[in-house]
Amino acid sequence: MKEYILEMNHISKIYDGIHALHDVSLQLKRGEVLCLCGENGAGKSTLMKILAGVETPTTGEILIDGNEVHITKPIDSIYLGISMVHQELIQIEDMSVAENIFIGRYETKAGFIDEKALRRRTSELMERLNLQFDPDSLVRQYSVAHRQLIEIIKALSHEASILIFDEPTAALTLEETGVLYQIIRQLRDEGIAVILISHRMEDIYAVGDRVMVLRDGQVSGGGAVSELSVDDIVKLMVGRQITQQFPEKTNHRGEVVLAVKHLENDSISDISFSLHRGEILGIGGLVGAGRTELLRAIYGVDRCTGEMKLEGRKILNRTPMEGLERGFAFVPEDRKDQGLILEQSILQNMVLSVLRKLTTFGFINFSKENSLCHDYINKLKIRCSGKNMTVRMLSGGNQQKVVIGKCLASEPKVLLLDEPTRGVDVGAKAEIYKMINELASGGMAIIVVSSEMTELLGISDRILVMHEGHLSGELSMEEASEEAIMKLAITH
Amino acid sequence: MDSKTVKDDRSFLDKLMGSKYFELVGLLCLIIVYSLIVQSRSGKFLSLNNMGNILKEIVVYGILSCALAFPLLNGTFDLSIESTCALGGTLCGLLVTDGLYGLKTGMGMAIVISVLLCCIVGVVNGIIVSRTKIDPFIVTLGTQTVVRGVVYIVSDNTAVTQLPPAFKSLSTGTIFGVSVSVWTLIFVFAVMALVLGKTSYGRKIYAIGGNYQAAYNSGINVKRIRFSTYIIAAGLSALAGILSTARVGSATPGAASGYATIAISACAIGGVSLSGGKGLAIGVFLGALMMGMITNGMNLMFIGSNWQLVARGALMVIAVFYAQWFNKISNRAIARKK
Repeated sequence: MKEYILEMNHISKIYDGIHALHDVSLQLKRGEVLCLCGENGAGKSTLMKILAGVETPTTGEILIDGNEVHITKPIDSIYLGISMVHQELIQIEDMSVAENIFIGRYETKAGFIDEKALRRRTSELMERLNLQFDPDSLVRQYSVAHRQLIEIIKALSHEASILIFDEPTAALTLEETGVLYQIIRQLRDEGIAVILISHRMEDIYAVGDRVMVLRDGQVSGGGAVSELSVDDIVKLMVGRQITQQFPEKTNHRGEVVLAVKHLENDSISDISFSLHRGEILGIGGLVGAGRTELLRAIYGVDRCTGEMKLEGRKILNRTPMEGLERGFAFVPEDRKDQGLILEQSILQNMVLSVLRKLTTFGFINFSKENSLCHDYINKLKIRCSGKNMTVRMLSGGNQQKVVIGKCLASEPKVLLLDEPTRGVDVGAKAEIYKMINELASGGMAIIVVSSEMTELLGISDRILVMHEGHLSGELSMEEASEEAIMKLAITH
Repeated sequence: MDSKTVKDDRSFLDKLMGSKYFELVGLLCLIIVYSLIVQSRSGKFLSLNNMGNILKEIVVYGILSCALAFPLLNGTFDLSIESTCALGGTLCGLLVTDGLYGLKTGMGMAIVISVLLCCIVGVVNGIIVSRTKIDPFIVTLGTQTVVRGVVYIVSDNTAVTQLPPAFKSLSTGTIFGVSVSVWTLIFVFAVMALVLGKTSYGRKIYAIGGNYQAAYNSGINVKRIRFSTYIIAAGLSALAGILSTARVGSATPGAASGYATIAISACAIGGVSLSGGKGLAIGVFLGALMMGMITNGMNLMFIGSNWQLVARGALMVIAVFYAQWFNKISNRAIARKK
C-alpha cells in the first residue's frame, strides 16, 4: 500500500486559452480530511470535476494508489472508488430512498428488480452510519440535510475510498452540521480519504486535518490545520494584485437618495443602509450570502417587509413594474435567463422597459424607437451588425451591454447591478467600469453586487459585506482590502 | 454623445436571410411547388374561382388559428378554442331563432352578445393560467370539455336550424364580389398583423413568450397580458363559430370538434414557435392557406379524405422541418459574416 491513495500531479486545464488550473498538485492520504479553499472561480470545482470525470485535464497525471489512471467519464471515477457529494443535490425526488441510492445498479431477479435485496442493502449501509431512514419513502419528503446524508450513503454504496464533499454545510443548520461533522470523522476513522470544499472556517477547524488553498487556478499555499490561523488562510485566498484597469473616479457623493430600513424576507434579514446620489455602493460576500436576493427585494422581484425611502418618500416595491415606475432599474446576474430575450433583436430587447414612452394610442413610434436604440448602441459601444441582430448571436460582453442599455433607457435614479461583468471579456469589462463611473458622475445612485474582489475595490465608493443574509459590515475605501472583505464574508 | 450612426450595409440577400420573414420562404416554396403539382394534374386549381373557394374553406380554422396564435406567441396554449367556437355558433343561432332562454335579438346584436358571452371562457382560462401554476395545456383541456358540455346544455342536444337569411348571408353575401366571411378573415388577419407588429401590446406578447422572467424583470405586467391573450382567443373563436354556422346553415352542438388540432397545425406550419415568442400573422395565414390547399387540391385530384389525413399530417411535419432548416441556414449565413 502506498502512502498516498490519491496523487494529482501538475494538473493544468485550459478553457478557450485561459488557464482555469495551472500546475496544481494534490496529495491525499487514507484517513485524512483535506480542506480545499479558495474564492469563487479559484479553480476548486474545476479540479474536483477533473477528479469526478466531468472534465479532463489538459496536462498532468492522476495516480490512485501509485498507479496512473485515466478518468475520462464519470463512471471511470466511480469505479476507481471516487464519489462526490454534490452541493446541489441531484436526486430524483419522486423515487424512493433505496431506488435513489442504487439508481442504475438494481439487482434483478428474472428481469425484475429485486425489491427485497434493494431494501436490505440500503438498510445495511444505513446501519453503518447509524442512520434510520425508511428505504421506501420518497426522497422529496426529506429535508436538505437528510438528503445530503442519503447522498453520502449512495457514495458509500459505490464502496468509495475517496469522498468529495462540495460545500456540504452551506444549507445546513448548526445541529445538522454537527451530525455531518460526526459522520465525516467516522468515515475518516474507517480509513476513507475525504476532500472537503468549504468557505467556512468553522468547517475547516472542526474536521480538517490539512488545508490547501487555490487562487486564480494555482496552489497558493496550505499546511496542517493546527498550524494555520484564520488570517493566514484568508491571506492565502485573496492576496493578489489588482491588474485590471479601473477608470479614475470622477463621481461625487450627494444627498441621500435611498434609505433602506429593516428589509427582510426568507433570504435576507434586517438589512439597513443608505445610498447617496452619485455614489457607487459595492456589496461583497460569498455566493449565497443574499446579495442577489437583496437587489431583487429592492427592485420588487421578490416580496419583502421593511421600509424604503426614495427621496424622502416611503415606498416598498411589490413588483418590478412598481420598481421601474419609481425610478429603479435592475441588471440581473443571469442575463440569459433573467435579462434578455435571446431569440429577439437588440432593438426589441432594448426598448422593453420604455415601451410606454414610445407609443401613442398603443402604436409604437418606430422612428423614436430606432433613434433610442441607436443612441444606446453608440453610447455603450455595442458591437453588432445592426439593431435587428438577434441577441443570442452577440458576445457575452455585448449581451450584457444590451441589458444595461435596456435599464438605462428607463432613466433610473437608482441602478442595481448584479455581477455586471460576469462572463464578460476584459475589454468590455473596462468599458463597463468606465460607464458605471460616468453614470455616477451624472448623479445616478448605483449599487454593484460583485464576487470579484478587485472589481469591488476598483469601482466602489463604499463597500457593504453580507454573510448568510445579514449585513456583516461596512467598509470605507480606506479600510477596505481583499482581506477585510473576505473576513467579513466568512465570519459572523 | 457620439453622433455616429450604425450603418446597415448588407446586401439584399443578406438582409432577407437575416430578416424574420426568411423562415416563411420555406413555406412559400412548399406552397408554390404543391400548387404547380396540383395545377398540372387538374388544371383548375389556380383559377380565380377555385382560389375564392379555398379562402372560403379556410375562414373558420383560419380565424381559429389567429385565436390560438395569441396564447401560443405568449408561450402558453389554448385547447378550448374549438368548444368556444361551437358555443359561439350555438349562442348566436339561438339568439336569432328560438331565443336564448327567452332572449331574442337581431343579427348584429346576436353577434355582439355571443362573442361577449364567449369571452367569459377566456376570462376563466386567463385567470387560472395567469394566477396559478397549472399547466395551460391541462387548464384549457379542462375548459374545452366543460364548454362542450355547456354547448350541449344550452342547445338542449339539438342542432339550431332554420336560420334567417341574414345569418346565412354572412357566408353567401358578397362585397365587391368577395364573400363577407372572407372579408372578415382578411380583416382579422390585418388587425392581428397590426397589433403584433406595430403596437407595444404585441411587443409585450412576444417578449413574454420569448422569456417570461426577463419580461417580468423589465417591468412588463406579464399577468395582465397573459390574461388578455385568452380573452382575444375566446372572442375570435366565437367569431369563427358564427361564421362556421353561417356556412353550414345550422349550429350543431358537436361542431368544430378537432379544430384545435388543425389550428395548431396551421400555426406550426406558419412558423409560430410552440414554446412562444416567435411567429408572424402572415405566417399563420400562410399556414392556414396551406391546410386549405391540401384539402382542396386533393379533392380536385380525387384523392379520398382518408389519404388527405395522411398527407396533411406528413406535410405538417415536413413544413416545420423545412422552416427550421431554412432558419438554420440563415443563422449560419449571419455567423459567417461575423
